[in-house]
Amino acid sequence: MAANNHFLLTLNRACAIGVLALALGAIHAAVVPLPFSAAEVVKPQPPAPPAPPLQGQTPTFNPPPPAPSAPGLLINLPQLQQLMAQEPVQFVDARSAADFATSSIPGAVHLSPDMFAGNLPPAALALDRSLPVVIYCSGGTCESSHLVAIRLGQLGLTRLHVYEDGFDGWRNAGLPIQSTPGVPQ
Amino acid sequence: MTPAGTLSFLLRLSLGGLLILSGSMKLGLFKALGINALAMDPLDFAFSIRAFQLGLPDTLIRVLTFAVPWGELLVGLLLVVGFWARGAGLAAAGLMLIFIVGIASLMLRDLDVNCPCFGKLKLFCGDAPMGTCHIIRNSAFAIAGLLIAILGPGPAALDRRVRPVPTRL
Repeated sequence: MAANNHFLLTLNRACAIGVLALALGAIHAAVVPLPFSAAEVVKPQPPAPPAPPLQGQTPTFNPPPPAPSAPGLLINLPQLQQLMAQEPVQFVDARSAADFATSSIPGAVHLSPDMFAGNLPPAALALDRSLPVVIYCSGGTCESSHLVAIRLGQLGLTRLHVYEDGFDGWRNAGLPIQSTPGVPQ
Repeated sequence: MTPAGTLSFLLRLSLGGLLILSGSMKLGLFKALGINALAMDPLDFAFSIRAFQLGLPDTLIRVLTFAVPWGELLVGLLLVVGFWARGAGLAAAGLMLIFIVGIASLMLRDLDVNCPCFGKLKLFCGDAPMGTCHIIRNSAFAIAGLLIAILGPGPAALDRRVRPVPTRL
C-alpha cells in the first residue's frame, strides 16, 4: 500500500509539472504572438495616389485603367512565369545546403531557416528590396520557404512570394536548373 | 553513498543539464543573449511542430511551441536541484515518450523533418532528419528518467532536506 501511495505521489507530481508547463506555454504564447505566414509580417504597400492634373490642363473624366492584379504571397508556375516576364526576379532557395549544392534554380541564393538563427545572413541583406523575391523549397508540404518568407518579411522586404510547387515542380516542368559539377543528383 | 544513489545523482545532473539546455534554446534565451552558437528562435520550433502534419490548430501549435520548452526547463531544473526528483524523472520519461511516438509517426508516414532538438549543436544524431537515431536517443533519455523515478533522487538533493509529504491511506 505504501509503495502504491509513493507511486501515486510521483505520478501526481509529474502531472503537476506537465500542467504547469502547459500553463506557462499558454501565457507565453499569449504574450509573444508567433506569425505563421509572411502575410502576417509583410506590411502591404499603400496604392500610389493619383497624379494631380497639370495646371492649365483640362481634367479628363476617363475612368482610370484597371490596376494589374498583383500576385499574392503564394504563387504557382504560371504566375511565376508571368512575374518573370515583367521584371527580374530574385530566387531564394530555402532547402538544405546539401540540396542547394546539388542543384537549384539558376541565379538562386541559398537562405535556409537555420541561417537566421544567429547573425543575419549577408545574402538576405543583399536582396534588392525593389524587385520581387521568390522563395522556394522542395515543393508539396515543405515549410521552410514559408519560414524564410516570414524572416525576410521581418527584415522589411515586402515583395515576397512563395513558389508553392517548389524546386520539384520547377524541374518537373522541364525548366532549366543549375547543377554543381561532380555532385550526384 | 550507495551505487544506486550515485547512479541516480549522475543521471539527474546529466539529463537535467541536457533538458535545461534544450528548453533554453527553444525558448530563444541564447538568441536573446547573443550567443550565436546556441541561438534558436521559437518560430523555428513552431514550424517543426507544424511539419509533423498532425492537423493541430495553429493556436495549439503556438501553445505547444512554448509549453514543450517550458516543460523541459522545469523538469531539468527540478532534476538538477533534486526537488520532486522522482516526479520530474517520470515527467521527463513521459515527455520523451511523446517525442518517440511523434518521430515514429513521421517515419511511418515517410516524412522528412529536421530535428530542432538541440538547435545548431545537433547533439548525438547530427543533421539527419528525425528517425531511428532520434528514437534511440530519446529512449535512452526516457530510461534515465524512469531510473530516477525508481531509484529516487540520490545525494545532494533538495528532496532530502524537505520533510516528506505525509500520505493518507
